[in-house]
Amino acid sequence: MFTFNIVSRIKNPTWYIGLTEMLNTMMLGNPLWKYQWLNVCDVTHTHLIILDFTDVQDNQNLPDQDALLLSMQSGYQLLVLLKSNQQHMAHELYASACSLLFVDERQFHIRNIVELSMKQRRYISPGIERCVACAPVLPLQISFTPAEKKILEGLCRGMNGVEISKMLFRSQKTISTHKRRIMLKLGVKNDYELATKIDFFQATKN
Amino acid sequence: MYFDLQTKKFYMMEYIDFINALISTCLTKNPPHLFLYESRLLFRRAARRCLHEKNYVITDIGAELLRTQIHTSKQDLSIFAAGLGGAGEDMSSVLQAIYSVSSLKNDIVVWLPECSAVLMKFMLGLGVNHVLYEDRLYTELKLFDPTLPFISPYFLREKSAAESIRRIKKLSPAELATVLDFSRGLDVHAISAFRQISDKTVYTHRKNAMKNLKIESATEWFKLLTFLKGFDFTR
Repeated sequence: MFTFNIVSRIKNPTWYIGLTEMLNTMMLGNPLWKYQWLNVCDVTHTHLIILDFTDVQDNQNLPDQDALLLSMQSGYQLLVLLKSNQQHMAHELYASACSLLFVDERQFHIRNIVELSMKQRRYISPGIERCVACAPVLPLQISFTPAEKKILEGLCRGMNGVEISKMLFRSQKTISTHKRRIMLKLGVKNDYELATKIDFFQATKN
Repeated sequence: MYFDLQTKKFYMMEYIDFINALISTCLTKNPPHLFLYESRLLFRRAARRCLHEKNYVITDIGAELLRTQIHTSKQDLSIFAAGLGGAGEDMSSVLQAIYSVSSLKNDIVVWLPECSAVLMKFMLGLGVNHVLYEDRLYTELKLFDPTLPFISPYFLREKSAAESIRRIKKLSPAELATVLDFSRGLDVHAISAFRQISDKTVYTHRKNAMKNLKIESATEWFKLLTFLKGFDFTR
């Protein structure tokens, strides 16, 4: 009989219940294997520590305890949960040694996570692999003028041309021209494509 | 006539009683049937567990089964639950299915990812009566009661959204089809050529759809279309 000790630092009950259910199914299939949730974070006796970063905005202001765990050498003992819109976090955490999992992964095997942590190797879920493989295409190659940047900011906040013109004290025609130039630079033809592009850039920034 | 294995005798009357008893138990204890569409594993397991505790009979359905499964269950009083965050390229077929189920007067539960209030409005326009926020799926699904329409407080943060929900009207099939065509990135002329209707009809459908959904600005409209396209970063 082997007991797999897991420390849960999951704040969101949905992920917790989902993982519990999957582990229960795994336990049914392997009679000689069981797991238990521990409350105390003791690195020597635990096999896996699960951290929940799904509501964390950026890497800089993490709680001390979490930051300490991340700097730990044995990254295979640490599993970090992320949402798929946290592309930026995924990129940064990929550089550290911890295992990573997107909670909105369509398909993954809990067995892989358990096995790899026993083999002292890190687990990277398929979505993270894909996200890391395609480096974020940031609009850095495109250079915007200061005026265009201001308008782009407004557009990102969901304002329309009239609202921006009132905010910046410029005529609607000026705003429209700047917006046209932005669209030209981004290579989009209409408002719909522009909205899609902006949505994409905002998601990659997060 | 029925043969009892223990007493090794044939019985006539008891059998009828037995059948009657069976029918009555079926009628009284028949738990409500629930169809679950959720393509993401973790969410599916959490939702199943929560609904299982509420004694629902759960059937998992994939996108390809959406149409057929739901039409076969036309007679039953059933509930349809769907997570839209992971629908991806199946988005339009899921939405069509939700619309057809809602016209059968069945209860529909939908959970949405972090997004603006416009999506919640669109769901109400499809005839959905329970809108949850997927990050709080487990807590909100625990409170789920088919008789009480519920909208997650997360989507009601903006005052205008909370005010407009009561005035939202259900979309007509043509309006829904037009919204879905727009979300594929087609423009008015392409839609009119494809559907063999006039440009003006398309404009009217769009105008009426926006009116029914209480969408006030073009920005909101584009936000809706971007989501409906099933923009998905993991794949």
